[in-house]
Parts: sequence; structure tokens; C-alpha cells
Amino acid sequence: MKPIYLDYQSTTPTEKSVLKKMIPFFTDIYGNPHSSNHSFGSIANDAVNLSRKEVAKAIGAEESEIIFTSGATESNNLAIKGAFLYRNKYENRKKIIIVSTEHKCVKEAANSLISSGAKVIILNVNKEGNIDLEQLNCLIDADVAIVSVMLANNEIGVIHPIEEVSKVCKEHNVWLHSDAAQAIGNMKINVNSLGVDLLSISSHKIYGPKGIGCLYVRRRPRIRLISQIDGGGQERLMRSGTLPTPLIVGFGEAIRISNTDLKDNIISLKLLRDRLHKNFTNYISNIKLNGPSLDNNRLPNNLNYTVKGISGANLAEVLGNQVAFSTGSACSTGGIEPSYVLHSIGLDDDSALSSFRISVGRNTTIIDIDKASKIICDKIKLLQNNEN
Amino acid sequence: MPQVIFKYKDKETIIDEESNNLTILEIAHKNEIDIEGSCEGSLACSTCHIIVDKEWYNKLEEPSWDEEDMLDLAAGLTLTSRLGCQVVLTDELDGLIVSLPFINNDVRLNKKKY
Repeated sequence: MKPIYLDYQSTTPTEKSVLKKMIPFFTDIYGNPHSSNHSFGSIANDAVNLSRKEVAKAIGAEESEIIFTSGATESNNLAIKGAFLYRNKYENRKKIIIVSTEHKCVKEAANSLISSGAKVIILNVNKEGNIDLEQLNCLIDADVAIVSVMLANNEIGVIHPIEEVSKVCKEHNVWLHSDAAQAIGNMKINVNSLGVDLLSISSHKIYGPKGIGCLYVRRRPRIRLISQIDGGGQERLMRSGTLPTPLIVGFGEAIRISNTDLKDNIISLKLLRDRLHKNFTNYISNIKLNGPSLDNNRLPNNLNYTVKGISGANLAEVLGNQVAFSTGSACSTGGIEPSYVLHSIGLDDDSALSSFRISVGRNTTIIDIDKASKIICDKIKLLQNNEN
Repeated sequence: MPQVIFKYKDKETIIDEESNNLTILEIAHKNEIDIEGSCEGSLACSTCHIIVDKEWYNKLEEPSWDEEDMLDLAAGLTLTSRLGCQVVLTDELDGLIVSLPFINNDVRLNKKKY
């Protein structure tokens, strides 16, 4: 039996129709999109621009505000390092504010700036993973270069009130960055209604190829960044390097599809997720949902549970060839350190290690859900009985 | 008769401009002040980059997207940088202070032999 994939938050398969659009750009239309003086290059360039338009449209931005990168990790690095270094240089702003539950790359990017004189301030979250706007209000001042608050969390699916954060930032002329890697494709995103200045997106979370993503950089009021990769000055001097035409074509098509089907997709994701949740809570005793309640500010595809007494990592591993899910973010799997996100919402080491994350996706069926919940429930019951 | 003060390197020039509505670039050229302005004000270069005095910057109209795009390419950019061709001197701006960035690097003037 082919294992059932329930780890769509770590990555998604590239849609076949997306791949089909990409193929010609590997072999036939191979021109360098920056060699616009001959037709090989200009055709590639047209394709890149078309994708840029699709990406911009999907998040309510202008084409020229899209900077292609290798993915959300690079986007987050460019946003935080680039913005801090610029504002530190010209305005002597020294502080960075991030949330305790940010993705590792945001935390590490911020921490790496400490040696350049940055002071990193961490916002706490409550038991459901929500930030406290009052705390932000107290900590923010004209010394802050950038605030980074993820749109939706990768482990517990909580959606942060970016619009409110934006209002606070604007009062102090502080730039706002948001990591939307998990949110894209799972909720409507508009950079202007959110009020963000910088927004990171990855293609492989929305059924596009891996290795491509973008950073939205607001042009009015103008956000300027110190580039982190220098060279030929591509992407408005902010990210040098020849653009990977096939990947960009795939990204553009993937985001177009995900934006077209967004509403229906959200409804069906919720349906699948809620069914899984019902199965779990019906069959397993003392199972606890981590993060906000399902009908609240939570991603439609995410579930995160703690079952006391069982090891999440162990469970995911023994079931690995039947159902694929994970203990938390894929980036920190491999180590058995308890999740810092779960720590932040008040779980102790034991509880954090007894947790696992399940995420449904576009290709998940109701049959998958029922099968997978039976496999997981049976295993948990077995482990629980062995304990007793 | 609005006045504009150009500051550069270690000196400054005060100009009383008789006509209203000339751009800083035009005034500089009229008075042989060394601002290049290669594209003659058509927003295609950033060689008329000027730095507006902090006190004055917010009194100017906001730069257009196109101007900001050109400023992205300017060397030695500051928070109060503008393009000289886009700032029009009016009576409201009487007393405007601008300085010239000290980074002009024209290879033709570089007499060093290689």
C-alpha cells in the first residue's frame, strides 16, 4: 500500500499541469531571461514577467514589487537582514522584534544580526499561540527597524492579526515583515489590506516546484533593502543571480491555480481536517489539540495533538510507511529536541515530545482520512495499552 | 524671488532665482553648479542626485515611483535624497538647502595613467 501523505505543511507535490508548463523552459526555451537582446532571452524574459504578474495578482501587489528568491528561507533572510542593515545604516535603528514562535530561519536571521549591533526582542504568545498586541505596543518605539510576525504558524496553524500589528508599526514608522509560507494557498492574502511592507512566499507549499519563492517589497512608501547576494544586479539590485526560468514559470502557474481555487479549496480542507479531528477525538482518550480551536483563527489544513505517554517522533517513525506526518516543522526533525513552538504555548518537555502534526492537502480524500485515522488511532491505543 | 542654497564639499552658493518653477537641475545649470543631469530631466538616470536638507525634505512633494526607481540606483543614497530634475523651486520653498553628494566619479577626469 502506498503510504498516505498527511504532511502537506512540510511540502506539497508539484502539480502535473504545473510541471508540464515548466518542461519546455528546461530544454527548448533555455535563453537567459536577462539576455533580452536576442529572442532566446526575450522569450524567457516574457515568461518570467508573466509569472511575476501572476504572483503579484495573487497577493494584490504590483509586478515590480516581487523579488524572486530561492524560497521563503531566503526571502526571510533578505527581508530581516536587508531591512535591518539599511535602517541601521541610515536611521540608526537598532532593534528587531520577532515572535517566539517564528520559523527557525527568521529567528536565526535575526540572531545573526546581533553581531552587527542588533537587539532582538521576542514577543510572547499565549496558550493558543496568539500574540499580545499590548506587549507589542509597549516594546515598539522609533528605535525598531523591523517587526516580523508570521502570517500563520507552521506547527500549530495559528493565524496572527497582521492588520492590527501593521497599525501599531505604522505609528512608529516601523517596517513590517510577514512570513506567509504556510498561509499562502490556505487563506486570502492581500498585502495592502494586511498592511505589510515585506512578505515571504514559497512555491513548494502551493503545489509548485521547490527552490523558488519570492519576497514582496513595498514600493510606496519605498522599502529599501541592503542586498544579501550581490552580482549582476538582477531583481532591482536586491537579489543578483540569473533567474531560474522553469522554476519561475512553475511558481507562477502554481500560484495562479491556487488563487483560482482558493475558496473551494479552503472549504474542502476544513471538511477533511474536521473529519480527521472527529475521528481522533472519538477514538483516543486524553488527546489534546494544540493551538487555537478549529473554528477560530487557524489554518484550514493544520492539526497538532498531544497524547500523553506516547512519543510523537516514535509514532511518526513506526507508522512512516503507512501514514506520513511529522512531529513539528520538518526543518527541525532529525533532532529530537522538543518543539520550541509548543514550549512557547506552555507545553512542558514531556508534552512537547508527545506531540505530532498532521496536515491535509489538495490531494487528500475522505477515504485517506478514514484509513489514516484508523491506522494512527490503532497504534496509539496499542501504545497506550502497553503503557498500562 | 525664491532663494536656494547649494552646499558642496566645503563651500556653499546662495542663488536668488528670479523666475519661479524652475527645477533645481535647471537652476544649477544656469549658475554653472556642477550637477550632471545626463538625461536632461527625463527621469532616465540618477546623475542629478541631490541631498535635501532634513528640515526641508518633508516640505517637498512626495517623489514619484519613477523617481524612486532612479534613486534606487543612485550611489550614496540618503533618506533625504531626491533628483534635482524633479524638485521645482517655488516661493513656498524659499530658502531651500540642498547639498551635492561627494561621490562623483567621472573616469574622464581621472588623470592617473594605468
